[in-house]
Amino acid sequence: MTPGRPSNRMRLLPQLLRFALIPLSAVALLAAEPAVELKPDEGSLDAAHGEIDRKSGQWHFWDKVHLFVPGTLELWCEDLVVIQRTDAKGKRITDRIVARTNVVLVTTASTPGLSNPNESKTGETNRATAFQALFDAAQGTIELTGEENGPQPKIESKDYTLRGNRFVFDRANGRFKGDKDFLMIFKATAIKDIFKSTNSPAKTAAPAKTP
Amino acid sequence: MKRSPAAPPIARFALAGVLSCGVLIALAQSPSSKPSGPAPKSPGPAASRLIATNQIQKGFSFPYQEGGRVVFRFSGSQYRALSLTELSVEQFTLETFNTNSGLAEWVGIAPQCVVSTTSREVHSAGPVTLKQADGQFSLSGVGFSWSHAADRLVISNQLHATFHTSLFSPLQ
Repeated sequence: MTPGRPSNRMRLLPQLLRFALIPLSAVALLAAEPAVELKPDEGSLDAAHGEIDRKSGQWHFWDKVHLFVPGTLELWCEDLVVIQRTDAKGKRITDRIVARTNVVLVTTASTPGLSNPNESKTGETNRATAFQALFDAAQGTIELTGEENGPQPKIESKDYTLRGNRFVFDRANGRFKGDKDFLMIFKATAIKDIFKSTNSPAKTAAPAKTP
Repeated sequence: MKRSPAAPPIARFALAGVLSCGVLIALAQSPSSKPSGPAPKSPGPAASRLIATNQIQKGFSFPYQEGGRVVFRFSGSQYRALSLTELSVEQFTLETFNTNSGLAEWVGIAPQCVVSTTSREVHSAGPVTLKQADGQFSLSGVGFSWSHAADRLVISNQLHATFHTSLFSPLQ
């Protein structure tokens, strides 16, 4: 070996690295599935298993169900049933959607979706947890209920936390109802104006009086 | 000059075993080895041709009609008979049609699957994609079974679906 010159082993090292990197890169590219972009007005549904029964009109998905409608909501549960019916024109339409077991529902105005139900992000408006969430197209309602002898459904936002045995959001009439052991906790910052003192002088835009 | 060593005893036994198996197989396939009793019914000329070849056949199409209208159609690039009633089909396509209008409803594609011509069922452990003809819903998965009689599709694993939000109107 000539002093000052790298040995044969050292000269081969870059080539070896190159040969190792090529298959490793290929593996990484193959393993990393590209995220499928949703088109406008499109949502996605992932689950371990599914069954589409066209006779009964029931689409059943179970085991790690994740439903994502960009800009509208994101839902996780263990069991989801889409119930369809045939309308007067003979067209199949969705009548109800029932999500059960470990339901987490996040309403959000932004995309992309969360990676898991425990993640939170900017743009999240409400987060609900329940045993069951029932979306009813005919009544225009979303109903959250708990399991018997189980935890109550809960709705959280940055301003409040709601608990009750049953919540019904009447989207058609813009009403929200919670009943049966209902509890509402407001965060102080959300209601600070209620407790503002009325003795302080009213502020005006008029210039200060000169003495 | 050295003599080559004699074959060890175990090799001689192995050779004898292989020859015996060959004789037994030849005897089993000979006409005289068939069990006695009434002759089985002929499966029909088409099925006989399939079973007789047990080779890969090019092109596969199996339209099924109800009330004079095609309600579904199986097709594939090639097939091989597995038994009297089952075929292994490559590049399989399933098309279903509305029984009233005759319009296409669903299109399913799988690289390989097993088709039962009697029960009209299809199953595979491999990948599958299914699309609604109007483009409102599509799904993919790994492992599936489809039954015409029950009009039911089951996806075994890794279900991923995309849908037009109008299809799931209660969510809007």
